[in-house]
Amino acid sequence: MTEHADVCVILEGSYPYVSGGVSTWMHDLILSQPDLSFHVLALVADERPRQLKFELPKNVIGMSEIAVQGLPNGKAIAGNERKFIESLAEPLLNLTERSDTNAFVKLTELFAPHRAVLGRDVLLDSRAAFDLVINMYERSLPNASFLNYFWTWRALIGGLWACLLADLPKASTYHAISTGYAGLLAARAKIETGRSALLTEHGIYTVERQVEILMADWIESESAESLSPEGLARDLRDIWISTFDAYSRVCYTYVDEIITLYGGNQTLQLQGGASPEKVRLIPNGVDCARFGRLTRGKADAMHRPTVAFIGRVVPIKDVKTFLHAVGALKGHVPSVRAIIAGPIDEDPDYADECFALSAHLGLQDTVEFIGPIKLIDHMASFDVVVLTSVSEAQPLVVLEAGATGIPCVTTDVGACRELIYGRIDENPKLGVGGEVTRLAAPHETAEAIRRLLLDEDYRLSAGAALQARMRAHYDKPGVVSTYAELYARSIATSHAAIKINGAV
Amino acid sequence: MAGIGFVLERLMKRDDLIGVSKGIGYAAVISSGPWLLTVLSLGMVSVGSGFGAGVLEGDIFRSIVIYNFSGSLVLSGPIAMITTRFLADRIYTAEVEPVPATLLCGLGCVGVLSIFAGIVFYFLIAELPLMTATLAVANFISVSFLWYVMVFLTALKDYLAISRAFVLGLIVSTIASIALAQVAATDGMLAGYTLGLTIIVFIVIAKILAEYPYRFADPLAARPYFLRYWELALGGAVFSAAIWIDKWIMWFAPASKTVGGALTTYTAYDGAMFLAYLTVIPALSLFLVSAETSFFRVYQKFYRAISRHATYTEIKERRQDIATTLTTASRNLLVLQGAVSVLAIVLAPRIIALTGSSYEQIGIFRLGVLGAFFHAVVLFQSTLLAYFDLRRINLILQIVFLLLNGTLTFICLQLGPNYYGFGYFAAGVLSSILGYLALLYAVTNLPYLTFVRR
Repeated sequence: MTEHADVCVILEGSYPYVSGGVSTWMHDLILSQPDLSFHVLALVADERPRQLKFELPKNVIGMSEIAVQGLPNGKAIAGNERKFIESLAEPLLNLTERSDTNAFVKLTELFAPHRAVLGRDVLLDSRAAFDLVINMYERSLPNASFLNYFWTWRALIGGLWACLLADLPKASTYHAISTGYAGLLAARAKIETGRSALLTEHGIYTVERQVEILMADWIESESAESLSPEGLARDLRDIWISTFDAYSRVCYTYVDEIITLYGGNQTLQLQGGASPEKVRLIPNGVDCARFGRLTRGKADAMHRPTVAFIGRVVPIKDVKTFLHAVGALKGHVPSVRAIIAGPIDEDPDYADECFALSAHLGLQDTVEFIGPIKLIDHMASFDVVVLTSVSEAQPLVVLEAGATGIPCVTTDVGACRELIYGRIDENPKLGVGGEVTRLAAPHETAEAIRRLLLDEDYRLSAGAALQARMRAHYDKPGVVSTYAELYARSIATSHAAIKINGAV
Repeated sequence: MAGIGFVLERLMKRDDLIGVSKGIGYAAVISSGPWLLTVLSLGMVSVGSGFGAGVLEGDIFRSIVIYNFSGSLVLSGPIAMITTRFLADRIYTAEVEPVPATLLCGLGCVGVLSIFAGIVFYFLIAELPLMTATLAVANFISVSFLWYVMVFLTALKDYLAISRAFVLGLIVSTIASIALAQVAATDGMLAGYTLGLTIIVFIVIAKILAEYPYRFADPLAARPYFLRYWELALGGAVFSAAIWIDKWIMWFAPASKTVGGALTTYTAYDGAMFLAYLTVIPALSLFLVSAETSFFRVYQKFYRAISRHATYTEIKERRQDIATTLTTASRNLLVLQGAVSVLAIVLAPRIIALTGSSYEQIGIFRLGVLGAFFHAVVLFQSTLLAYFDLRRINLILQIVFLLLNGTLTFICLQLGPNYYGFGYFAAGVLSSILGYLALLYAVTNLPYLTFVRR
C-alpha cells in the first residue's frame, strides 16, 4: 500500500487517461499545490489497457484505479451467502428508489466484514444474486423488459459494488471531482474513516446522465405498452435517473464542502439536494500574467483574419455548426482563416464527417484542422476565439483567450454568459467581452464573428473587457490560494476528527 | 465526463444471449445421425457378410469395416463438432459464404488425418495383402468423409433428396459388395461397400455446393472455434469413443479372433451388439423428428421471449413450457422404445436364430438391448444439454459415460462370459441417471443459466 497522502483526488472517466478541460484543470491544480502530496484514484470503465495522457506531477505519490464494470471474482463468503445477499435488498431499494442516503451507510456496514472476499462470483453471478435482481425487479418495475432491467441492474449496481469493495487509499482528505461513482467513494471515505471529504463539480453529473438517458435509443421506452391510466408510467429510464440522483444525494449529504465553478451550476446543486451551508463557488483560474504577455501586433496587410475553434472534434463541441458558420462568414470575409485546433482521434467517425462537411462547403482553403496544440504558442495569432459546444462548464479556452485579450463568440452554455457579459452582480461592470449566441445557430455565430472581424475598435475593446474580467475574478493565483486554504482547512478538520474518534 | 456513459450503453446493447436461439436443430442430427447410420450399416454388414466368399474373407471384410467405423468416428469427431457449431452460428447470422470453403477445407483435414492413420494401421501394423490394405484405407477415408458431410445435412433443406441419396448409397453398397464378393472376395466386398458410401458422399457434396454457390474463400474461418469451443471438440471424440469402448475392450476377450495380423474382433459380442442397436432405431428416429418440432418450438419461444423483452413472469412461463414438453415427449419416447426393447428381449432367441448367430449371443443381445436403450437416453440428454449450450456439463456427462462403459466392461470381461454386456448396460443406467440430474438442474435453472455466464 502506498504511503499516506495529503489529498486523495477521485475522478471518473477523466484524468489521467482522458484529455479535456477537467483533466487539464486537475493537472494544473495538483501542480499548483506543490507542498501537498496527492493520490490519484481514477475510476475507469473496464480493465482494458489505457494510455496516460499526462505526465504525473512529482507531488503525486500514488495512483490507483477502480474498474467500475470490472469486479474481481472474489471467493465464497463465510456464513450464509443467501442471507447476506438478501439483506442487501432493502437498502438497495431504499437507496435507488427513495434516495435514502442512510441506506448507503447501511450498505457500507453490511459490506465491511466481507470486503476481502466479495467479488462478482457472489455479488453478480451467484444464484442468490440472480434472485436478488428478480426480487428488485418485481418490486420496482415488474412489467418492464427483464432483459433490459437485468443489464441496467448490472451496470448501476455493479458500479456500486465496485465502489463499496475498492481499496480506499490512505489520505488526510478526499476530493471527488464529480458526483456519480466518484462521489460515492468520497462519501464512503467520510463515513468509514471520519476524514473530511470535498466535492468539486465541473458539469453536473446527474444532468449529463439525464441527457444521455433521455437521448438513448438503447433503452426501450415501455411506457407505450403500459395500461396505466395516469399517463406516462414509470419505465427503465426512471430507474437510471433516480439511481444516479440517489448517488448524487449521497455525495452531497456526506461531503463537507460542495464547490462548483459558476452560479448556474450552483442552482442545480441546490435543487439536487446540496445544503446551502456547504456550497461555494471557486471558478477556474487562468494565468493572466503569462497570457497577458503574449504580444499581439496590430493587424498588418499580410495577416489573414483568423478565427480559432479550440476543442476536441467530437459531437458535444458541435464542430459542424462552426463549419457552417465559417461557410456563411466566408461570404463577408473572404480571406478569413479558420483554425480547428484539437484532437481528432476521439471520435473518428465524427471527425470524418467534419472533414467531409468542410470539403462540401468548399472550405478547403479556409479551414485547417491542425490537431492538438500548445495553446500558448498560437494564441497570439488568433483574432477571435469561437466555441459552439452544446454543453460546457467553464471552458478553459474562453479564460485563456480572454487572458490574452482575444474576444470570444460562444454558445449560451455553462458559464459562458457569465464570462462574456459578466456576473449579474459584477461591480464595477467591466463590459462585454464578445458575444453569446443560441445553440446550433451558425448564422448568429457567423454574424457575431463578422462584426468582430470587420470592426477593429469593437474587437479591441471587447478583448480588453474580457481581459479585465479575467484579471479581476479569474486570475490563477487567487484560485490557487483559495484551494490551498480549502485543503489546509480540510486536512485540519480531518486531524481534529481523528484526535476525537481515533485513527481508522 | 467521458467514458462511463459509453460503457453503460455498450452493456445495454449486449447481444450474446448465449447464442443458443439458433434456428437450426443441429444437435439432433449430429448426435443421432452417425449412430443411426452405424447401426444400419453394420447391421447390414453383419447379416450380409454371411453371403459371398468364404468365412475368412467375410471376417476380414467385416473386421475392416468395424475398425474403420470406430476409428473414423473418433478421429473425425472433434472437427465434425466444431464445424457443426460454426455452421450453426453462420446460418443464424445468415453469413453463409464460407460454407463451400469450410466443407472442402474440412474434408481436406479429415482426409489427411484418415490417410495418415489408415496407412499407419493397414500398412505398418496390420498384415494384409497390398490391394486389401489399399482398399481398406480407401474405405476408411470414405467413412470419415461420410461423417463429415453429415454435419452439413442440417444446412440443407432438401431432406427428401438426402434420404434418397442415403438409401441409394446403402443399396449400392449392399448389392455391389455381395456381387463383387463372388469375383474378388474381400477386396470385392470392400470395393463394393466403399462405392456405395462414396456415392452418398459425392451426392451430398454436390448438393451442398449447389445450394451454397459461393466462391471458395476464407477456408480457415472456423479455426478460432477450436479454442473457444474446446469442450465441443473434445466431446466429439469422447462421445464417439464412448460408443465403441466396450467393444474395443471386449476385443481382448479370450474368445476373440484376429485376422489380417492386427484386426482383432470378438464376433459374438460385436454381432450381438450391432443387432441390439437396431432395436433403438424407433427411439432415434422419434427423437430426431420430435426434437425438430415440439421441443425446438418451445425452446425457441423461451429465448425469443427474452430477446423480445418479455417480463420475467412470461419468461418463467416459457421455461415451464419447456419442462412440460420435455416431460411429455420423454414419456412418449420411453414408452414406445420400452415396448420395442421388451419385445426384443422376449423374442431374443427367435431373433438370434433368424440371423444365424450362435445361441451364446442371446444373453449378450439382451443386455445389449437394455444397454442400447439407456445409451440412447444418454444420447438424447447430451443433445438437449447441447441445445442449452451447457458445454461443460455435457462434456462431463460424456466423459462419465466413456469411463463407466470402459471400466465396467473391463470388469465384466474379467468376470467371465455370463457377465459379457453387463458393463455396457450398467454404464448406460448410471450415466442416464447423471444425465437426468443434469437436465433437471438445467431446465429448472434455465433463466439463471441463460442470463449469468456459467
